[in-house]
Amino acid sequence: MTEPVLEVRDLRVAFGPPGREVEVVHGVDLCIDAGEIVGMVGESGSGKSVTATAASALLPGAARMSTAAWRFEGTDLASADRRQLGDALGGKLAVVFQDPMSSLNPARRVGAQMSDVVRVHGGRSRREALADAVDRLRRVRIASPERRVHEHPHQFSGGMRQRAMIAMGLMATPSLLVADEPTTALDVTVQAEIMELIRELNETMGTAVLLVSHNIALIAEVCSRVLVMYAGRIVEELPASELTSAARHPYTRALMDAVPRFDTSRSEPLATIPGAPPDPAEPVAGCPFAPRCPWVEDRCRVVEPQLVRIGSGSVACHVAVDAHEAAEKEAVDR
Amino acid sequence: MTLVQEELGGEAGHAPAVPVRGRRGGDGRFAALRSLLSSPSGVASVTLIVAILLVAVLAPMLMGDAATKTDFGGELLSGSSAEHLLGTDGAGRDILARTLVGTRLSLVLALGATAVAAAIGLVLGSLLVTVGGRVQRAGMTVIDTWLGFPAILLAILVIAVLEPGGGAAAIAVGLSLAPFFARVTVTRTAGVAGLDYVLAARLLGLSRRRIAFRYVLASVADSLVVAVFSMLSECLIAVSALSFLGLGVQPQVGSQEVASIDWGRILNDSIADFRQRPEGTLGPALAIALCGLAFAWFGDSLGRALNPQVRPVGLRWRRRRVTSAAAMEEGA
Amino acid sequence: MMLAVEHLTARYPGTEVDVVSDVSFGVPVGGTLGLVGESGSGKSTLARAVVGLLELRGPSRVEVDGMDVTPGGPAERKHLRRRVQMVFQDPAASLHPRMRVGAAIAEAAGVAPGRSRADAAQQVPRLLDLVGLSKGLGERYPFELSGGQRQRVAIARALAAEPRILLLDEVTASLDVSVQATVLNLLKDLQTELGLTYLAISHDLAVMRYLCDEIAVMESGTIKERAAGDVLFESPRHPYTAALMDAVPRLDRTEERSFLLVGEPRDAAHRARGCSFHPRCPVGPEVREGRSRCVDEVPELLGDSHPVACHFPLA
Repeated sequence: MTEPVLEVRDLRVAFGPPGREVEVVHGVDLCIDAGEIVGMVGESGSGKSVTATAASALLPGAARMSTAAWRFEGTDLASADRRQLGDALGGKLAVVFQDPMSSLNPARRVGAQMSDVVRVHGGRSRREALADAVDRLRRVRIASPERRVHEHPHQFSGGMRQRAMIAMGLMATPSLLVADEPTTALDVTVQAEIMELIRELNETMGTAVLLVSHNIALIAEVCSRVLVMYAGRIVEELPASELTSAARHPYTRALMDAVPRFDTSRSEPLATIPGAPPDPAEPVAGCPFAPRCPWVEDRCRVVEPQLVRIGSGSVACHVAVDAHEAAEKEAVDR
Repeated sequence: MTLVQEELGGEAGHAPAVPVRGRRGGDGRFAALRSLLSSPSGVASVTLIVAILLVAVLAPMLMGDAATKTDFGGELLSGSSAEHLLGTDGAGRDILARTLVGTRLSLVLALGATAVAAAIGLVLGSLLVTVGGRVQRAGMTVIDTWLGFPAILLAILVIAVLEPGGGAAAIAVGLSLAPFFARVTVTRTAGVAGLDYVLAARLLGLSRRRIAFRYVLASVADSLVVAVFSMLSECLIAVSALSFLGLGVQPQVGSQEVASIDWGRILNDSIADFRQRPEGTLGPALAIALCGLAFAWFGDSLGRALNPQVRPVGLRWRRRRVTSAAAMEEGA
Repeated sequence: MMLAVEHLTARYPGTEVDVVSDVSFGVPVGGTLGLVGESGSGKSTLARAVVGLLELRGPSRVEVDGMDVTPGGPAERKHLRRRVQMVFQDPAASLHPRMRVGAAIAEAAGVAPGRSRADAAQQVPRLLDLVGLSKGLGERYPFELSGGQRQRVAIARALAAEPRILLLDEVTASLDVSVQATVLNLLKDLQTELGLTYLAISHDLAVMRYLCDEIAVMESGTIKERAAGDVLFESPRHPYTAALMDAVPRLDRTEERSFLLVGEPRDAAHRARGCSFHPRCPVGPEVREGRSRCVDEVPELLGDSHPVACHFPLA
C-alpha cells in the first residue's frame, strides 16, 4: 500500500508570547492519500486555515507548532531544517491562497515568478522554465498564454490570478495542492470553473488536493472526504457522499441546515445555531460545542469527546456514538 | 489580515473581531487621558513634558538674574567649575542658567513654527482632499516640490524678506515645514474618504462639517497628533539653527534681555572656542536633544492613547485578560 | 410603488462609460426586490445611483415614495435621506472605527426630523433590542464586536433614521454561515414588523431566493430577466440565469452541469455589441448556428410577469 502524501498526527498550534500562549489547533490528525481530494470545512475560528498552513510548513515565526508525527511522502518533516523542508516540499507541495494578489509578487512578471520553482528545484534553464510556464497557463485555460506570461499580476483579472496561482503550483508536478479558500473572493461562475479545473488536474495528474473552505456545498461537490472542524478540533470525518444522508455530529448537521438552498421554505425562519464559537483563549471543559448543542447532556459539559471511528467516518460526540452503538446492538439482537 | 486575527474570531475570510481587552467604561472624553496615564511609558513621557514646561515657566523668574549677570572681572569663557557647572560665556554669564532660562523662548518659537506649519498644512491638505480630482493632483505636485527644498534654506530665504528676529524665524520655519503636514493630511484622509462609513454618513445627511471633522479628521487624529509632535522636534531644531546663525532671535538689552535668550543664541555665543571649551555648547545641545526626545515620546504615547484599538487599558500592573464580546453576547 | 426606477443610466464621475444602462423596475410597499449578478454587472452601481450617490444620465427617472428624486437637488436629497438607508457589505468598514456603536446609532437617530439629542440617545436601547443585541453593547467600539454583531449594529443604525426603504448591499457576504442565517431571519422579521421595503443586492442566489419576493438578474449593466423568486429558479428563461444557478455549489446536486460558462464578464469599457452576454452564452452564437441576431441586435426586456431580455429564451 502506498504511503499517504501528507500525514500529520496530533497537530497543535499556538500563538502568542510565551506564558500567554493561545492554542488554536488542539490535536488534529490529518492523513491525505495520493490522488485524494480532501476537504476541511469550518467557520472562522475553527482552525482550518491554521491547520492547512501548519501542515504546509508555512506558519509565521510567531506561531508554535508541535506534532506527534509529520510526514510528506514518507519524509519526516518534524525534524527537518529549512533546507530539508525546501528539498522535501519544493515543487511537490503547491499552495493556493484566498487572495492571489498578495501571494503573487506585483513587481515581477508572472512568467518570471512561475519559473522560479523549476529553476531552483528542477534545474531547468530560463528558456525551458518559461516554456513550462506557458504550458501551465494554457493548462489552466488562460487565453494567449505566450503573451500573458510576460505580463504583471495586476493585468490579470481576479479569476485569472487565481488560475495563475494554480498554474504556478503545477510547474513541477506537485503531489499535493493545498487550496485555502481559493474561490471565496470570486464570482460563482468563475468559482465553478476553478473547481472544475482542480478536479480535472486531480484526475489527469493524480495530484492530491486539500481544500479548505467555509462553504460546505463547495466541499461536498468537489471532495471525496470531508473533515469538519470546530474550535480547533476535528469533530467529524466522513465521505462527501454521505454528508446529506449520514452526518452524525450535531454541528455538521446544523451547518448544513443553516445554509439556504433552492428548496428551503421561504415562510419559515432559517435554522440558526445559537451562541458563538468559544474563545480560543478560554479553556473549555468537555465538548466545545456543548453550549450550543441541541442534544447536549450533562457528561458533554465535563468529558471532551474523542474522535471515534463509526462506519466509514469518525465523529467526536458522545450522543452520536451512543446512538450508533445502540443501533448496532439492536441490529445484532435481531 | 494575519492568520492570528482570522483564527481569533474573523469572519469567513474577512475583517476580524479583535478580542476585547479588560476595559473600564466611563466617559469617552477622558478615556484617552486615563489610558495615557495607565502605562509606564505614558506616565514617563508626561512627566518629562511637565518637567520641561515647569522649567520653561519658572526658570526666567528664578534664574533671570543669574542668566544675565555679567562678570567681566571674573572668569570669562571659563570651563566647567563648581560655581558654573557649564562654564561662563564671553561676558562671564553662567551658561547653565542661560540654558534653563532659554527653555521658554525656544519652546515658544518651536510651538509657533509648528502652529504655522500645522495650520497651513491641515487646511491645505483638507481642502485638496475635499476638492479632489485634477486640482488635488496638481496641488500634490506643488506640495512635493515645496517639500523638496531643504527647510533651512527655505527659511533663510523667508528671513531675507522679513527682518531677522524670533517671530520671523518661527514663521519662516513654519512655512518651510508646512508641506510635510499637508502631505500627511492628504495621504491619511484620502484613504478614509472613500470608505463605507463615510458614505453611510453622507447617506444619513450629516452636514459636510460634521463629516469632515468627526469622520474624516477624527479617524486620522492619532496619526496627525504623532505628526504634530514630531514636527515640534523638527521646528525646535530649525528655529535654534536660525538663531545660531544669527538670523533668529536677536540679543536685546535691558528689560527684554531675559526674554531674548534662546538655545540657538547660546550656541552661537559658545561656538567660537568650541575646541578649547566644548562644554559651553553642551548645555543648549543637550537641551535641544532632550526636548526633541520628549516631544516625540509624548506624541507617540498620546497618539496611541487616542486610538481605541491600541490604547493600553486597565491598571498597568495587571495582566490583560482577553475575553470575547461575541462569546458573551451573541444570541439567536 | 415605493421605489420606481425608469431607464436608469449611470456612470462613475470622471469615466466615459455607462456602468448601468436603461434599467427599469419597481418595488411595491413592503416588498423585496433582489438584484443578482456577478461583479461588473452594475448591481452595486445601480444601488448607489438610486440613493443619489451617483449622477444620473439621460432619460433616467427615480421615484421614491411618491417624489421624483432624479434632479438630485437639495430638496430631493433631503427627501431621499429620510426615506432610504443602506446597509453595506463589510461592517468593519461601514461603522466609524473611533465611535462607540451606541453613539453611532444615536447620531443616526438624531437625523429624524424634530428629534433632540436626548431623544436620539433614548432610541439606542430600543434599537439595539430590535436587532437582538444586548443594551450594554452600545458602549463598545466596532472592533470589539464580532462580524455578526457589527452587521446588526449597522442595521440598527440604518433603522434609526426611520427609513421606509432599506438598501441591503451584500449584507451577509462577509458573515459565517450560522451568523448569516441569524441576520437573514432578523431582516425578514424587521420587514414584517416595520413594514419596510427592501432592495437587496447579492451574488448569492439561494440567499436571494430566501429573502426576496422578486429577483432581477443583471449582467453587464442591464437587467436580463426578472421574476418572482420561486418562478425564476424553477424555470429560468435567460441562459445567464440558468448558468448562474448551475454554477452554485449544491449539497444535493443530482445531475451534471449543463450550462457551464466560459470566460469572465467584461468590464464596462469592453462590452460586447448586441446582447452583452453573447460571447459567453452557453447557447449563443459562439456555440450554436443561426444565432447571429445576438451579435447584431440588443434584446429588449419583454414580458409582463416574467420579463426576459433574450432573442432565444429558454423554454
